[in-house]
Amino acid sequence: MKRRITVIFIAIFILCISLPYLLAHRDREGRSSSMENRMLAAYPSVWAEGGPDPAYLSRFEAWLDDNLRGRTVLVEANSTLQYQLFGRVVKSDILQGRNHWLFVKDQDMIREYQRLNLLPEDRLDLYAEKMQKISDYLERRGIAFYYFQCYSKEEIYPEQYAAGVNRVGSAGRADQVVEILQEKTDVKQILTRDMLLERADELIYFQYVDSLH
Amino acid sequence: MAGVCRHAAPYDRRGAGEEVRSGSVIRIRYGIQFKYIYFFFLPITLTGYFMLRSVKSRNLWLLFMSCFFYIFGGVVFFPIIVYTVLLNYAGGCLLACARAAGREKLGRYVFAGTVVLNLLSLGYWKYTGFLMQIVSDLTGWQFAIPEITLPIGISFFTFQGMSYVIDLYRGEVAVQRNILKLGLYIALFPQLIAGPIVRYSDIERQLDDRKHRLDDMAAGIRIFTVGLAEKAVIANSAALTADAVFEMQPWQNSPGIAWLGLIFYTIQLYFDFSGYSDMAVGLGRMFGFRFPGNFDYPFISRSGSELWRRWHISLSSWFRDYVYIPLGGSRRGNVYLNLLCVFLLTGFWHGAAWNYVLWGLYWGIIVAAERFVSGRTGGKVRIPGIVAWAYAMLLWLVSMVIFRTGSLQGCSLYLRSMFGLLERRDAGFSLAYYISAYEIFILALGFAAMMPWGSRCRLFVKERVSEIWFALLENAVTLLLLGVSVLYVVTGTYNPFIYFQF
Repeated sequence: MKRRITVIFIAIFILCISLPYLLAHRDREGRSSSMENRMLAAYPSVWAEGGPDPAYLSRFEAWLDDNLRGRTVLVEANSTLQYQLFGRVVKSDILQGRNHWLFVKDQDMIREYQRLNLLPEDRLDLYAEKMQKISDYLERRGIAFYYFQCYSKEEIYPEQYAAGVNRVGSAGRADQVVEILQEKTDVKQILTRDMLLERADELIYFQYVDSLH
Repeated sequence: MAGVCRHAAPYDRRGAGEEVRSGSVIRIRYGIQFKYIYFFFLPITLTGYFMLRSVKSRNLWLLFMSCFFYIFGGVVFFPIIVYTVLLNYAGGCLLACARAAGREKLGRYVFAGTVVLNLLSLGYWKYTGFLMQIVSDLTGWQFAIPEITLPIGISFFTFQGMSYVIDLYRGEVAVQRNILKLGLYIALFPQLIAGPIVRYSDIERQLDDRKHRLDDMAAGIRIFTVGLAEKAVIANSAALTADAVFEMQPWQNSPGIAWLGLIFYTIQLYFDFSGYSDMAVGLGRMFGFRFPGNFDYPFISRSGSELWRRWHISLSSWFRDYVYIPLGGSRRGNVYLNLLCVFLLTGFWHGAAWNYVLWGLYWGIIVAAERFVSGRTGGKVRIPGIVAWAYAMLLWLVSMVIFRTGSLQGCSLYLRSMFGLLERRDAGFSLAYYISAYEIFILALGFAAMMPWGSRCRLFVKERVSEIWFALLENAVTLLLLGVSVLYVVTGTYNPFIYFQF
């Protein structure tokens, strides 16, 4: 009986490490993804021109990631499990906010929220100068020019942003740009922040989707 | 496949495929891919191995697959491992011939020559840039410092090769006249790239005659799976927090964050390396080899000396047997100087950078000081266990700052941030950002797995249930671990082993 248990155990182990490769799609040309707008990695060739392909292992890894049968199910299972057990979102480019809000986990966007990536003055001056030039040029041609400042989700709903991310300063890049244009140009601006904040309770940004939508 | 990073002082990230070192450039290869090994290479190697019947053909198959393994990790470096095999094989044969002819002096020259050539190879690939940088700094000469890519696993297989020649010189093993067997010993893939450093004497007999029993295979799978879970679940998860903290400039971190990052880094490093070692030991067992373990619960230690008897055992015992004892050990010469020398070499073995030298020096001073105190008090001073444990853990955590930060300036800044001696500015994150239910779970899991509770629990159950039930239970737990690990491996992307770079 113990021998039988051991044999079954070994067989399951062998299956576990063999099935991902055996069941994966092995198209040499690569297939198009049904989830993303891209081609999936093709089955790699061991040999490149003149010898073993030095990038073979990376290609193999990319191919297996893209073509593993049931990977979507496993990813969903893992995501569900982690969310149910720990309330954790596993996707590395998503930042979990308060009350089930989700934000983009991008270094620049986080630093913008923290006010840690302010633009240097010379760059702001350059920006103002360019805007003024565009505005003047269009005015000469009888075209009205307005500067429209958009604000990201975390600017409108800072109270829902991830716990533990601190605001270090009071003004961000968008505020800097608005201010410099007001100070040094006569470019007309459409300032949206107050309008958006006034109507924030109407959920301008969807809480589950990133700030770009 | 090769990570290249230029210095950008004062403090830089060291993670997947890159290392930053003060004032120089380093290139590290992380050629071996995690999923490739476990879902392609391993099933093929196991299947081929068990389809063959004789030990000779199985050895040949393992050697072939080990070469294949290394070639695809970095084909340009394959000649280096061939060189190591040829050098030690030729050195061993010449040494044996000289001895047989009664020419001891010639034998000594052959031995010394072989060791020097091994060290020169290691020195060239690993330390050239560092040493040239020192010369440049000291003399002020400006010359181009070559960018040398570090061949993966060179420190491990060079030390294995040397251990054969040294043991042969000492008469502890017989000469191996079959180059394929010596090649298999040096290049055997499970421990080739990140240890444990297996001694030739450990597997000398197994190369010719080893048993393949179902129970050994199952035991190998269990050890391997535990290692895989350590790496895929604990180390990779801990790495996310550790990297996030160490990516910040030290002055952005509060003392709490700095300590938390360090604790997570300790968990990452231990389970990354111990996980790899367990996988190597488990794989070896599946192929009929019995490799010695590399860790013995280092985090139950109550002194720095004890910690080093339990951490990376294959390396510390290598230095003990081949450097410390020949220097005189505790019987001849100055024992403190001998200890300092051994730990400096241990630090330098880890990498050609000042932080590793400092790390070695740090441990050398601590172990020497502990020896001095113990000698003076005759071991009569009793310190409460918990205090001694806290002391050992504090020593380790501080040493991890030196190990992780990559530059002396970065190390100093991080230490100051840990103890609140650095003015905090641009503090974009507070502790709540780094710690959630999952991180607490990983901390608890990591702590529990660092203690010998798992093996005690196993023994407890074993004594109370029948053999059949125990086998069922043990295998079911292993398969559960395997399932969770595969889930993490398949859905995750953070997989490089830290010790691949050494």
